[in-house]
Amino acid sequence: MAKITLSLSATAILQALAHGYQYGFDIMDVTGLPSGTVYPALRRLEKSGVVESRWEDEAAAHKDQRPARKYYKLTGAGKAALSEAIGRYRRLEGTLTRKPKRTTG
Amino acid sequence: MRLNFDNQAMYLYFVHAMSLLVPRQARLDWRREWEAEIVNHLRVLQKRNRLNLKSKVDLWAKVAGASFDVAMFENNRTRFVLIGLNSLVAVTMGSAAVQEFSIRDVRGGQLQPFFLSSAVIIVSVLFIISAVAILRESSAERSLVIITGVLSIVVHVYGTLPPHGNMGYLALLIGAGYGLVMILIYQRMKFILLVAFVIASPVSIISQTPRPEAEVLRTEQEQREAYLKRDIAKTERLVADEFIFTSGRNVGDKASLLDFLKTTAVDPTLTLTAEDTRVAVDGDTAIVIGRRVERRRREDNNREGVAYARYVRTYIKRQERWQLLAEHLETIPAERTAVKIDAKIYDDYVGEYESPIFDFAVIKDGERLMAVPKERTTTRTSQGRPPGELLPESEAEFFLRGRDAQVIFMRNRKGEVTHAIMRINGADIRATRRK
Repeated sequence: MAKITLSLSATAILQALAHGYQYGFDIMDVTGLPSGTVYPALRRLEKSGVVESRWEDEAAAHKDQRPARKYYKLTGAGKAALSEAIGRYRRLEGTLTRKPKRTTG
Repeated sequence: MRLNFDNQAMYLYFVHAMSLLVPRQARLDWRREWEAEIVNHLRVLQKRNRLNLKSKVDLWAKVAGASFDVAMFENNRTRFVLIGLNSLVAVTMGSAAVQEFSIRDVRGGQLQPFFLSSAVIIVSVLFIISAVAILRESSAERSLVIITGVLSIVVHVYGTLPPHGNMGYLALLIGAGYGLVMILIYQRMKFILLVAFVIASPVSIISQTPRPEAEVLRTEQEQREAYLKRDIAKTERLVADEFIFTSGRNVGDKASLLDFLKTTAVDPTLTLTAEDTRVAVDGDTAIVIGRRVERRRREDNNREGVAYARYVRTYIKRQERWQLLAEHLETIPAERTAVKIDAKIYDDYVGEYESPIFDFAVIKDGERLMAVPKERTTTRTSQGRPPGELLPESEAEFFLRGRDAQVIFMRNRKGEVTHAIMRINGADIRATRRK
């Protein structure tokens, strides 16, 4: 699989999934991202193989008198991509907090 | 726990409406996921007793994102652009064509613009049907789009061609250009080749056809429209400052023409069309001869009247624009056609008639109905008027050949012929039946 470079919002979504937030509205609440960003990103991430989805068991949901939800979770590739992205953003944070060297007068 | 229907219905309606824009293969899943999120979210809010205005607004913000979600579907952006453009082109083309159709073609009675406007209306409807097909991802989507694109190109190229030149280049650009874009998007090489052929042949004709004739005729058309709409600014542009005209006993200039337009109201029933036009161009000068057909409804009886006139117009080209320099207009009698009716009905019309200007007798001469002018003792006499055959246009309407004269026999409630209306040079004169 080709190396995946995650955007900041995609990293936030994967981070939410890694922490057990499994469905769209939950991810929105925890990341603060709007639904117009979260759902298209989940679809894109699923297509690139870093996320997989499954429908909640119908019988369980029916027993609870509510419709079944669609749950998302990280794949192995997703975990690797997330760890690479977090490393990259941490390095970036380190670079940005250092005082820049003055090259001109 | 059961949810209050009102609480969730509006959110679900919105998602349902949005789902229609989702590609068909993903539609069911997409809708199910959103509906489940909404219902579950509301359920949690109700359970925690936190279903208030703030939480509802917050949920609306979340649900509104469904529209962005829909727009981000692969291929959806192209589809939306196509649907939007299809609708826009259909409305633009359709409204112009309906206006042409209802104002000029139906009342003007000209065949070529009638068919062209009808064709543009059909293409506009096809654009809408194509947009619906794209929206619904119908199996006929591709065929519909390609047929619409090809038809739009053919109709617009034909409409722009001389000698009629009914359409401007902007219409050609929008109609034919967008038709081509639609076909290119749907990538069918053989159709692209067909379209290239369809475009190439008329374009070669355009390049060989002298352009000034079409330009002059278009200026004529614009002038007629400005005259009908009493468009002073446009008339000022299209008519040269030195303009002179003669018509019967009248002579005038640009000032008197503008004064006429300013002081007379628009007649919504009036149409002006030109027939048998011929154009001769020499450099920056052009002469147009033609026949003007003027149709309007009469105020007294709401019947449509037609008046014909021959005209000669001189145009000059100044700053790349043709302007009317001189005009001569001469009215001509309407062309009438006799129809075959049962001559038995002539017996009803035979008799003597009296009018303020002259008296006449209607007699039968075999199978013919004749009007014979009578001598009168007053100063107004009919002396010198030869008898004329009354040729039938219908059972009650007759005309005299070679003269702008009509005789219409009128009956009372009992069916007896009591008088006749003589329509001479457009004026109605009542002739009472004496015997």
